[in-house]
Amino acid sequence: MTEPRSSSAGWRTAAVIAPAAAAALAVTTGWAMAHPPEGSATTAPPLAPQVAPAPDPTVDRGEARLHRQALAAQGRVGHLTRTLQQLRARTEALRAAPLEVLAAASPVGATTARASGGGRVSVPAPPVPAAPAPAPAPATHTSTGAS
Amino acid sequence: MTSLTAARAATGSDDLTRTFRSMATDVTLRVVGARPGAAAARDRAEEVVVRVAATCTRFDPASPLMLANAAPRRWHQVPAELYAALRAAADAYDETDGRFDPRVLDVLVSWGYDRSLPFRTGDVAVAAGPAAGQHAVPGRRRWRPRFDPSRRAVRLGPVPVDLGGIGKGLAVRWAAAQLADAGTAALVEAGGDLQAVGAGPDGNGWLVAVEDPRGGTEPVAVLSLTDRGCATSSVRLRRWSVDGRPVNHLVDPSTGAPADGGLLSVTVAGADVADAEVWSKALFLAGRGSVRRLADEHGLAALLVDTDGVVGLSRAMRPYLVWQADRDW
Repeated sequence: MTEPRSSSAGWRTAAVIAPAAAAALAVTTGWAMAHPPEGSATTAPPLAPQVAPAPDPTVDRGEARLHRQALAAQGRVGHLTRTLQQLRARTEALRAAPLEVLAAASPVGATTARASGGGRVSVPAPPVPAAPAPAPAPATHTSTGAS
Repeated sequence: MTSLTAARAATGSDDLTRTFRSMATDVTLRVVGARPGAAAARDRAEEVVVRVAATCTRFDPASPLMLANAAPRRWHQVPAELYAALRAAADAYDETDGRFDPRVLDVLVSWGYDRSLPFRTGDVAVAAGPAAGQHAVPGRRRWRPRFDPSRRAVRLGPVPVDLGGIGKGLAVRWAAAQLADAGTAALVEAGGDLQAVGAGPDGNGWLVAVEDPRGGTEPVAVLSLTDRGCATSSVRLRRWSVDGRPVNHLVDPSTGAPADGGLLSVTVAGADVADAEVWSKALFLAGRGSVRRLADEHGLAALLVDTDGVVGLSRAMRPYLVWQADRDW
């Protein structure tokens, strides 16, 4: 048993709809490429180096400035997101430790590396960036410790 | 009072505060959001502290405790406060497997600590007592005091006892009970032992600074306590030298020697201040090598500072911690 052949009216309808659909797809694709969706901070892919767009006489200058600002803001969001993830990982590690060390002397030592002549030379440890000033203790109602 | 306590929150007009001297330390009673009858409750709280001090002191030979100590093998009818304190000490001895042992009086006396010593004036040096070196090691034999509740009588056993630490904790516990309904919140503190009633002046908990046992002006941590007790055992203050030998008030009952387990202070928080006092001492005596295991085994909220300046805390202490020092020693 064969399929019934389409009527000529059906073919005419298809001939009209197909080009229109193709045109609509092209328009929406172009719009979508110009307007990327806002991804969540934790799932956004690493940001590519930002390149200033070439001036386009058809684009309003104000709009271009806003676009650059948006890109810069996106970069800052990415940086903050990575920092937050590092802090979360550190917090989890501290929670998992049975006995936490809150404050202790942390010696900064030197490492050794193989010299070109085959010997070893001492390589000073990289400078530790200055830590931000710790938050001061909050005002308290009383104290314990003098017993 | 230390400089840390100078940073207390401002006292509101409906606050009642009284500070007085007892048990060789400053005692402070504070009621926030005072209700009718608060002043009377505060007076009763003060009377409780004074009564406990009078019955449990070892510095008065006529005190009920010292009368019982004078003939420890005999039965003695004692005041209610002393009976309850000795009962609590016996329970604490059992719960800590003898790490808390009040039979250290002879040791302390042999080190010249038979009277209040001026610890706050700085270096204290005394001569050894007449019984120096003649006392038995307290923990060598099990403590088996006897109690007769019908007569409110006790028999201590062969060795005299000192109720200094637990007596202070119990005085704070019982004084706080008097203030339970006196206001929206209350606080009783005595020389490192404190009981917080309610959630403090702001409803966010009583903020308690854990002092730096090395003597720094900044705390090592800040705890937030609501309906919780807290106590710290430390050798920062009560230490002295006897015939040139350094000693402190925390006697290890298993050796009869001053505590020397690599710790400077242990702070314990929990439901009750007297229990916290007992366990802070027991953990301190356990020493750096065992304090972690012991605290976690018993679910104790503990914060310690060791002689290397390392600050550590047990799992159960985390919920109380609102601030910590972020610096190297």
